[in-house]
Amino acid sequence: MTGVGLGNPGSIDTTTSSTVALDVQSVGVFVGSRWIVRDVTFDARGGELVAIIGPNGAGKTTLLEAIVGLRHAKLGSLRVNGQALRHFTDFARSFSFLPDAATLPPEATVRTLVDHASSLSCGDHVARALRQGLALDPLLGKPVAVLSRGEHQRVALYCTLVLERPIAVLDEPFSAFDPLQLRSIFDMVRELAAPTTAIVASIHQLADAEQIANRILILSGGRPIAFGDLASLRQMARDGGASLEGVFVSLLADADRAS
Amino acid sequence: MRRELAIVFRARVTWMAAALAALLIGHGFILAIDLFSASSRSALASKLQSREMDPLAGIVRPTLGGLDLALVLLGPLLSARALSMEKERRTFGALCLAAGSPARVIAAKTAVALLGCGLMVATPIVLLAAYALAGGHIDLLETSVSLGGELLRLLLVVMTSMAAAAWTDTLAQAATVGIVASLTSWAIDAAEGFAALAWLGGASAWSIERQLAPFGKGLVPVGPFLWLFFAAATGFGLACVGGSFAQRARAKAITAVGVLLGGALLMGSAGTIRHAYDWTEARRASLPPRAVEGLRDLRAPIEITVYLDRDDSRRRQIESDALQKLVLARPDIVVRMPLDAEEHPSEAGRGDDYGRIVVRVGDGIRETRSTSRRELVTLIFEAAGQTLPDWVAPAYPGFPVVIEGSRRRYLVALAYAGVPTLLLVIGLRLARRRTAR
Repeated sequence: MTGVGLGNPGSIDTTTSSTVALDVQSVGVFVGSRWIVRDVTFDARGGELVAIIGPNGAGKTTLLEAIVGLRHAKLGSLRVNGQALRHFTDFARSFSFLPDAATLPPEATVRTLVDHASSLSCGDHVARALRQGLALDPLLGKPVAVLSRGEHQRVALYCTLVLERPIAVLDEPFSAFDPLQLRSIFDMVRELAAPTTAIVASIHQLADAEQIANRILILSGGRPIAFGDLASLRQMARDGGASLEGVFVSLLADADRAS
Repeated sequence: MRRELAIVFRARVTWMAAALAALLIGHGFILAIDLFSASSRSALASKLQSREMDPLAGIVRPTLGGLDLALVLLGPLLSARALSMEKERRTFGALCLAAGSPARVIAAKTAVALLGCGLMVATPIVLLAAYALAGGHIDLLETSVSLGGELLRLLLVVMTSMAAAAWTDTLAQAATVGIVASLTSWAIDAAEGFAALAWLGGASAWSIERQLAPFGKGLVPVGPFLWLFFAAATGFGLACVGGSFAQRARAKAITAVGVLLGGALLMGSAGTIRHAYDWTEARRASLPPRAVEGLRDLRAPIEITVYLDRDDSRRRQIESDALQKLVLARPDIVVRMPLDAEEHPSEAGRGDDYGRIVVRVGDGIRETRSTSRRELVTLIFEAAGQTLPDWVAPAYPGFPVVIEGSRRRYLVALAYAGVPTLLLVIGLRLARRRTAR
């Protein structure tokens, strides 16, 4: 499925990416006695960034964990570059993952973590570019325990993106950055996403998502409300000039009414 | 690996635990030295008594006793921490994806946990070396065997704690499960003398202490070695299953039960192997060499039936001396304890048969009430229609030594202050770097 508004067949696909890198079909995650995520279908193409947005408790983190194989998806299927994922090694070959609110080991220095992550990656030039893009060189000698939140997140982003897997899945990757940092991080992430790596990221700040995402999946109560680029979402919300926040509020209200 | 090493060795808790363990071990060491010195004072006057002054039993084992305690109480915390902290920090899943599989991450964590807990083993090595420098006698081979037993215990503690960490979400849960698992073995051992735990008596074959006991005596038993190895491998297998992702809970549980059953089967098979090697100084855990050769040359099966119940001191003596030496010479000897089948043995219920020890070699039968090893071996040869070979064993002179005055003060300072302080200082220096801007 590409660029189709879920529950709203009238939406339009305007993405320009070529091949489908990640294909998520009807995924459902059951935890304890209830469905946390249900019937989620979307795809991500090589070179694009798909943002997942939704209110707190919408199931964003659970969905991302199911996508990367850290949670058992009771329903649905996942394909990466056309291949179904069955074993954990398939997931490991396909995804790098930045968990939300993860804490890097404070006992280690940045250099230790950077070296460790680089040793698991394939290309030196990507590692160098990422290190420069994330301005890690001045931090290398520092222990992780003394890093600021933004510095910490830059190191965590490096450790994830340097792995050069076909899909990078990032859970709230931008929440720790100030607006200045955010601009350069966005540029770098966009650069990285071209041409083969797809990025799927849950983003809490809607302005950030609007700025960086090619397409957006809106989740509410574990169910997908809409999926598409901003133009198609605006069309679904019947508000051609609305910001993503306006679209989000409108679509959520529609979904509430429908349920 | 540097990442994993940093997590363990730049953590204050690793060094604080090692320092605390050093205090426990040091205390045991000093008590052992004082007791050994007190016994040595009278033994030095008598050649016969001085033969009994065995540093393995008098110094090495009590010192390693402190290590046992430290490993059981602190080992689970240190081992589980390596893995549990990744879970608490929410980095475990991402790390597994980056490494390619949870098993790789768990293997790396296990390796560094072994090294981290291994710090505790450094203390007895330093203290025993200091004892040797202070004039005491330490046989390298038999001491290494004893220490090897402790390394097997370390391996088991680490693997059990890794399994606990893999199946739980927090360090507190994992450490609690790890300590309870380690203490279970002690509870099994306590079952014999503690009525409240008597129901555990049937599990004595699963006692870790029982498997490790021969190592403490300088013996290398093949069966217990394999038993402990398989137990550790089972722990690692459980850790890998517990740390795996994207499996249904039921599938995980079934796999875990399979691993447990497979491990239990292997351990059960290993438990039947009775071959052991005597690596004590002067081979003092064995019967005289000629007697051993003679026993091995006997073709007929040997069976010994002992009518003594578990609470009898003669029973404990014959088990730890004569029977152990006989099994070392002939692992195929069948030993029967018919009174163990009685549910409530009592002194009042002992009949005339009580105390008999019946030796059967092929069709020949002999009987005695003595628990002397020479008497038993003589009866075995008599029952086989042969005479007892030369009963000449290599002389073990014993090594009495009185450590007092400045030598004792030096050892006390080393045990109570030197080693623990050194460990603390190294730990604080490494940990301080982690917060230095």
